[in-house]
Amino acid sequence: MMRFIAGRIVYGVFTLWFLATATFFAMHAVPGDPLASEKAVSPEIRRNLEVRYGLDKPLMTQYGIFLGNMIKGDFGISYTQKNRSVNDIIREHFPISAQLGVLALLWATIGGIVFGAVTAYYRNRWPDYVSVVAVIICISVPGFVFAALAQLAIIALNEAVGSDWLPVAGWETGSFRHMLVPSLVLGLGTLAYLTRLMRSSMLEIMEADFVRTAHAKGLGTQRVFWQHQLRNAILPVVTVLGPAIAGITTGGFVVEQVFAIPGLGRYFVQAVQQLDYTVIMGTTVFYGAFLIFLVMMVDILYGVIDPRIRLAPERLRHQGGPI
Amino acid sequence: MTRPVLSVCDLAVSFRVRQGMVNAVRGVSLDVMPGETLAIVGESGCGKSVTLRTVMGLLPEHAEVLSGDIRFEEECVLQQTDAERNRWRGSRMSMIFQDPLSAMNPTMRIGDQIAEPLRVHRGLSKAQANAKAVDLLEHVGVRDAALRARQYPNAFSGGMLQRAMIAMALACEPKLLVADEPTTALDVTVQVQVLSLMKQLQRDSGMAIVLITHDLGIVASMADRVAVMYAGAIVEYGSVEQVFQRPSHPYTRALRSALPGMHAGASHLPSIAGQPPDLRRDIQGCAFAPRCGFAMQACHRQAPPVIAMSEQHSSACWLQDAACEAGRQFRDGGL
Amino acid sequence: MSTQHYPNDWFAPAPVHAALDLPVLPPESYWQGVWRRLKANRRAFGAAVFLIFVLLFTVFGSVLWPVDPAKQDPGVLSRSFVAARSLPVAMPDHWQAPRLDWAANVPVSGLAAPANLHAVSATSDAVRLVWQPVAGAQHYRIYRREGGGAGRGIPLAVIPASYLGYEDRLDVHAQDYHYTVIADDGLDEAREGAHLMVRPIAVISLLDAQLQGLVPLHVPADIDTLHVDLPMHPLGTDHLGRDMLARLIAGGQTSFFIGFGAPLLYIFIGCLYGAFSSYVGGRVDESMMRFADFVIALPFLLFMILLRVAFGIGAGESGVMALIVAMVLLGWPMSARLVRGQVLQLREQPFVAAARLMGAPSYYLVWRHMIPNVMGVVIVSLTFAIPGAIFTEAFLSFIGMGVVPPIPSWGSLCNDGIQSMLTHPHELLYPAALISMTVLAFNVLGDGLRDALDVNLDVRS
Repeated sequence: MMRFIAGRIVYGVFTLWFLATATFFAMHAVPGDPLASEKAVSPEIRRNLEVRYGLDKPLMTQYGIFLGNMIKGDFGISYTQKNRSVNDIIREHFPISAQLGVLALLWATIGGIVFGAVTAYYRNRWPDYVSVVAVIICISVPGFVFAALAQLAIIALNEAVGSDWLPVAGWETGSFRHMLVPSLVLGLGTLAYLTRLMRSSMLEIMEADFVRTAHAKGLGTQRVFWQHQLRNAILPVVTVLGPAIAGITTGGFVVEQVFAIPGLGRYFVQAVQQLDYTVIMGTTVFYGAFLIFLVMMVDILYGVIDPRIRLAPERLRHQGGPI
Repeated sequence: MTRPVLSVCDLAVSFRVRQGMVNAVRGVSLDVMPGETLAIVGESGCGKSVTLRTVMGLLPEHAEVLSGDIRFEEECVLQQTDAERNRWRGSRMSMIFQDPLSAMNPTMRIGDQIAEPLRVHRGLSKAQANAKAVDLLEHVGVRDAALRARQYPNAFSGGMLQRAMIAMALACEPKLLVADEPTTALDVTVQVQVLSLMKQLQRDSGMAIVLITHDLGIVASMADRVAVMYAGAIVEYGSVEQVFQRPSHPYTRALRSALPGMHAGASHLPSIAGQPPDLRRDIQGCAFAPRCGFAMQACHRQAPPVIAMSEQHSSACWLQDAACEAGRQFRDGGL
Repeated sequence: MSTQHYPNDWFAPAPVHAALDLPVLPPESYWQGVWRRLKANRRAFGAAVFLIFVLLFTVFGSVLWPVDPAKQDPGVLSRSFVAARSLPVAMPDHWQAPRLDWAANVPVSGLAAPANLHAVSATSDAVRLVWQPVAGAQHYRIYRREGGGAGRGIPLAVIPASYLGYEDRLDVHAQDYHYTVIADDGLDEAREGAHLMVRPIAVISLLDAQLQGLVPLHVPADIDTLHVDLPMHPLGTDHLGRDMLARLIAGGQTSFFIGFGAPLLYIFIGCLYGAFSSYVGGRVDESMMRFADFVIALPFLLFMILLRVAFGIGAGESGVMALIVAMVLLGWPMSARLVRGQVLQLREQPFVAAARLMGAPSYYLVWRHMIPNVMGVVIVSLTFAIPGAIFTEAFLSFIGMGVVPPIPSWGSLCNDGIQSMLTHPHELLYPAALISMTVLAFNVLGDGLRDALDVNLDVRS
């Protein structure tokens, strides 16, 4: 088990390095000049700016500095918001995105597992049909459309009830009602996907031999469900948690935009639109590290749940050939 | 006279499928006496597993019991709910399956799986049940049982797993063990070990065993009595000696001669021509008639009655009818 | 035992039955079977038919509906439906509001409402209001409200009391307006104002008509009434008065170009990479796959944005190519891994071993066994990759990192539409519905194809 975890950590570090390198070189391949947005400045000021942002050094030196700073956790200073470091921006806005994302992930996983299990139990009856149709619609409609529809729905609801308990947009720290609808919208696509996955996995497990064994042992329905069916049916759901978290993270860009939530995603999009290179690089690396870390945790979690994974021999190297 | 542990009377089970009903079991009756081993043999799809699954209440949702009565220790099993069945399932009657690897929960420790029936039926604590599970594993011949109990099924070999399955089934000392092709998925050498383990455990505990198999060799070494099934019905029923030495149904005889080794030096493996009938259709007459070398007009017109040759030996074949001339030759070994 | 009486021939031998073998089905090739199974799946078939319609709509739509998607019809902004119209051209004339020569500068307690408020002319070019003076007024304030509801609506102007008229040219349409003219004494408004409901007639200003090339630039001054014919907009117009139908067609072309182009390219590249990797094997295979794993580990949309920024947009570029290149750079490893996995699995299949044992040459094995078997999986992954690419394009266009504005795509249309979704939902509704239904159809088709390619799911009876 320790070897398994160590292997995953080494792999995660390498992936992070690859991600940082890709980010750095992608940003330095940008045509034009990161300081081009500066208003006409004298050559002297320009030189000072270049020194400040380290742009006067050779590319590989810059790369080295970037990697070094990254290890220290220093992502530099914003180009557009002077005197504001990328770290400050992340520190201030990431918690908001994280709250929203965690809540969305919670809806998605709990909802996905519950709906998936329920529809599997009611297979080929109306709850199943309804959910199959709902799932495919949720998978096929872009998130921003749902966000817009949700806003319309809030307005209609508020008018019908005559209250404004549910805000149409905006954010207040720690206010659940501001989080409720955006997190639901954010989690919806993942919820639909997980429902579909859980349903097929549950259908498979319900036919599995070991479930029959459990019944033959005289275990009650409850025990069979919790001990034998659920744990095994959840496995595929756990494997896609990594991509699901990535999807919710990027989905947050849109939801934060539509609902005017001051999360990191909204600042990232803003930085992208304003070509604020340090913020783009810093946020990308931060998001990447965050996602890689979570995927690593999911991998380890999967190893804990499913003994077959961690005991499986390493992938065998295969010999090539035409066939 | 002792009462049977299990008695099945005129059981009929069908499966609903898209094209209609598959009549998988068509009127099966059998008794299992305490302490004896009854083997049920037949080709795959002949309904032997379905019969026992019905007894255990493990039929899939699209199955339907059309008629019949099942009594297990005087309880009418068919009328019971799942909760009522769970009082005896796994404690007084247990079952082991063909493929132990898929029949074990891959994400649960072996010991915990063996301990489960003890906790549910005997109300033991987790620690007590797990300690008992280690004893049981040792008892079925698993070495390093304490260590093995903490492992997951994927760390076990097939034979070891089947031993663990047996330990799990015997945890609550059942009166009856249903073994559904327990050795089919195992290597031949391991088969022998598992079978002799079962035999030994039966001697120790005095439980009855219903052994489902298609291997006549296993029947000969294990069983006291045999029921031969074909197309959802029992065609011959008797003690091992009776059925093997004086097979009174052409299907049994064909099965016996299809055993490799029975005709040492034969240039080809004997087989039974044709396919079993389509169980979705109504079967006119004897189900085996189209493949039977002895088929008579009667066989195609009317299903044969069950005819008793002796107290313990019966057969569903027109050849056994007292009025049938050909039957005499058949019994003499001719034809 | 039995004392029954049987018919005479009861125990006579019966003829041996021959009809024991299963019925033989007519032979069909693998792809014939796939096609038959796909046709039998009504949902997937319906999805395919729908997709063909949408494709025809986008490809030939611009032929059937040859309207320039960039052309603006300023008279009709954000309408959900506009019929073909023949509009009079409003000639420019300089209207002077009637003026009061003198104003008694006497403070009066309690200002009255202006009397006799009426419109001297009301066209969608301009609404001209006049009224009678109010004693003691310092200013008149003019408000306008659209349609139903209550209140005065938006404040249009505050004008000195020496004017007794007002010309409203603020985005006037041929619809009901409620005007309120109210006097103030320099500090406070009067309690009562005058109200007037006006429904302007639709006209087009000469300048607009000239800009759109509907009338010649030099119109003889003596022409009084000039009419121009304006096109209809069956699906309405957007906030700049551009024809929605034309924009949906053009947007579909962009979306499908990206949606088909990128996946076809990266799946092709991925197949080559995966096939090469599994062909070479050994350490090369291992490191090639490690590299693919690293690329897969990059957060996809995040790097799409990053690459999109890195490529930048030159002058006159649409950003479509940048999007496709970015998708290809990030998309290939998935299909590479898929193909490699398939190849490795197939090599272990007994039928391949059997063919090899019988001395089949490599090219035969590749051609006869590998390609047909890998093909199915690749096609299925393609049908799922296309909606994915359409989604990605929509997402990027939505956050402003996709296709550059004058070129429409369904995603950017949604982005435009969302700004005005509360007042003019049709601008969001049409492109959103097209994206959703297309993606839905691809998903359903993909599910159907996956089932159809699976021989084991076949129930032929």
